Amino acid sequence: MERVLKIENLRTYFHMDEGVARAVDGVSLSVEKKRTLGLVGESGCGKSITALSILRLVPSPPGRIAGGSITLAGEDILSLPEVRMRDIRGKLASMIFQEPMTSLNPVFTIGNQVEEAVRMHTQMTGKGARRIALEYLAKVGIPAAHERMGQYPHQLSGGMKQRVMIAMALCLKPALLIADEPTTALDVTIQAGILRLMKDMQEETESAILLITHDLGVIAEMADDVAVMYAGKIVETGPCEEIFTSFLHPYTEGLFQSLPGRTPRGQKLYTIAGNVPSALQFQKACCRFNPRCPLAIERCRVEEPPLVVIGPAHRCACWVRAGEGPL
Amino acid sequence: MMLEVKDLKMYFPIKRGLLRRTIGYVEAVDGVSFSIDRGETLGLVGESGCGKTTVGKCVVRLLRPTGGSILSDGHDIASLSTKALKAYRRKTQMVFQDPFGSLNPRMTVSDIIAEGPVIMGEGRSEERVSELLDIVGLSKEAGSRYPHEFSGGQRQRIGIARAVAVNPSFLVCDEPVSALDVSIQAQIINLLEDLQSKLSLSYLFVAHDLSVVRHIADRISVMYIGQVMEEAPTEELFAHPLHPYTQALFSSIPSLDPRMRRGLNPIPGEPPSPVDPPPGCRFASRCPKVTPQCREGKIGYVNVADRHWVRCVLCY
Repeated sequence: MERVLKIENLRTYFHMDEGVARAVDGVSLSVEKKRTLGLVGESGCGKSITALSILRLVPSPPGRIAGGSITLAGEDILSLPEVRMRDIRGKLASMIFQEPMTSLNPVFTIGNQVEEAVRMHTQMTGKGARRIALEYLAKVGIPAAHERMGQYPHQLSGGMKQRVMIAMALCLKPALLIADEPTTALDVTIQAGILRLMKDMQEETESAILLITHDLGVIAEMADDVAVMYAGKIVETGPCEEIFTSFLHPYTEGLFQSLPGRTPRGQKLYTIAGNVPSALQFQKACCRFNPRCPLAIERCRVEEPPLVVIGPAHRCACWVRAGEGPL
Repeated sequence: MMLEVKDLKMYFPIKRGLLRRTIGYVEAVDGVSFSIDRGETLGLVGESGCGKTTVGKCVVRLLRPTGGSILSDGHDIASLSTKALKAYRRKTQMVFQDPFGSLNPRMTVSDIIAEGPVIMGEGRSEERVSELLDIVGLSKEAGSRYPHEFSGGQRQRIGIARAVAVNPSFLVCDEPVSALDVSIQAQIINLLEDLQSKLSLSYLFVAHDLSVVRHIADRISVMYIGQVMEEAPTEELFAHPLHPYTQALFSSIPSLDPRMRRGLNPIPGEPPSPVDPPPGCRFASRCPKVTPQCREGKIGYVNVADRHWVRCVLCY
C-alpha cells in the first residue's frame, strides 16, 4: 500500500504570555492512498492544529512546530522553503474547513475561485482552467453548474458552498485531502450528501483522506482507520471496526458510552467526569487523562504511558488497560 | 394539560424600499399544534430553518405570534401584553443554545442567577443562589466569578440555574447541548433529566440531533418548513416512521456501527423557501413517493395510531 502521509512525533507548541501550550505533543500517524483516517477528539485536543501543521499553516508566532517530521508524498514538509509550500498547498494536499460560509471569498464568483486553484498550480489559463472548474463543479453535484459558476457565495446554501469547497480542493487530484469537521455546520440530511460525495470523489481521485471530526457517527460511516486524540496526544489507534467493537482506552470508552444513542431511554448517560483541559494545563510525565479517568492508578500520575501494540494495527496508551504491551 | 399550542402561526414581514413597504412574508411557522403534559418532554426536531426555534420563542413569548393560541393551564397567552406576561414568565423559562452569548459578561454568576427572583419581586437571597448552584453541580465559590472563567458545559449549567431560579414548571430548551463536546453533552442531558424529576418540570426540547432527542423526549414532533409533518411517542416514531420526510431524515443519520454501513441516502433537491411556500405538502418537491394529490390543497393530519399523527396523503 502506498503511504501518502507519515507524521512522526510531531510537536506543535504555542508560546503564550501565560506559558507554553503544548497543543500537539508527540503525534505519529500515517495515511495510505485511497484510505481514510478518522482523527477523533473533543474541542481543544489538538486535532485541527495537527492538520494545520501538515500544511504549515500554524499561525507563527505564537505557534511553532517544535519537532518531529512530516512526510507528504515523499516530500519532507518541515524542511521545505516557504515558496515550495505554495506549490504543495492545493496541489499535493488540500483542505476543506468546517465553515463553508467563511472559507469562500465573498467578492469573487465561485467559478472564479475554483478556476484560480487550477491556474495557480498548472500551466492552464482561461478556457482550460474554466473547463476543469466547470467539470468539477458538475461532478460535486452543483445543479446547473454552468450558470452557477457566475454566482457569488452568498447566493448558495451551506451544503452547496461545501460542495464548491470540495470541488476546489479536489480539482487537482491532490494526494491528500484534509477535511476538518466538513459537515459539523450542516444538517444531517445535507451531511449525508456531502459524506457520500467525499467517498465518490475519493474513488475517482484516489486521494487519501484525513478526516477530522468529533462525530463518531461520521467516523463509523467513513473511516478505514481511527486515531483518538486527547490533550495533544494520540491515546488509541486502530482499524475502524476494531476501535468501535473493542476499544480499550478509558477515554475512548468514555466517548462511546456517553453517546445518547447507545444508552436506553430512561437510563442515565455515562459521563466522563471533569472538563477538557486547556492546552496550557497539559501536564508532563503522566497520562494526561488521569484526572478524569475512573481507572487511574499511581503510575498514571507520574509516568507517561507509551502507545503500545495490542493487536494487529491496534495500539493504545494506557498503563491499566495496555500496560507495557505484550512482552 | 400543561401547555397546549393550537394552530400557531408566525409570519415575519419582508420589507423593501425607501418606505419599508411589506412585500411579502416569511412563513416561519405555519399552523403548528401540540400539547405537553406536566412532567413530560416533547422533542421538536427538524433541519435548520424549519422554524423550530421560532416555535420555542413564541412559546416563551419572546415573539408575539401572528396567529393561533398558546394555552398555559387554560389561559391563552398568545396575545397578552408584556406587562401581563410577568406571571407567565414565572412559569415558563428558556435555556439557550449558545452558552457564550446568553450570559451577560459583566455580571457575576450569582447576579445572573439572582436577577430573575429580584425582577419577580422576591428579593435577593444568597442562600437561594448557593442552593441553585448546588442543584446544577457548581461549587458555591462559582457565584463570585464571571462567565468567561467557565467552560462551555459549566456556562450551560449557569444558564440552567438562571432558568430554574424562579421555580418554573415549564422549560423551553433550545438546542441546549449542541454547542458542547460529547462528554460534556452527556453531563448536561443527565442534569436536565435530574431536574425534571426533582422539580417535576415539563420540557419543550428543540434540537436537531436525533439521538439526543430520542434519549430525552417522551414524544417527538418532526417539523419541515414551518409545519409539523409527524408527531408520535418516541419509540413509536423510531419503530414506524410513516412520513416520507421522517423516513428520509432517519436514513441520513450515520449508524454507529462500521459493520452496518448502509451507504448514506441523501434526500435529492433543496428545501423550498418559506417565502410563498408551495401549496399542498411542502415536502412534495423532494418526496420519492409523491402523488398528484400531494400538490393540491391542504393536507390534513391523520391519526394512525395512539397519539401518532401524520400529515401525508399516503396515510389517508
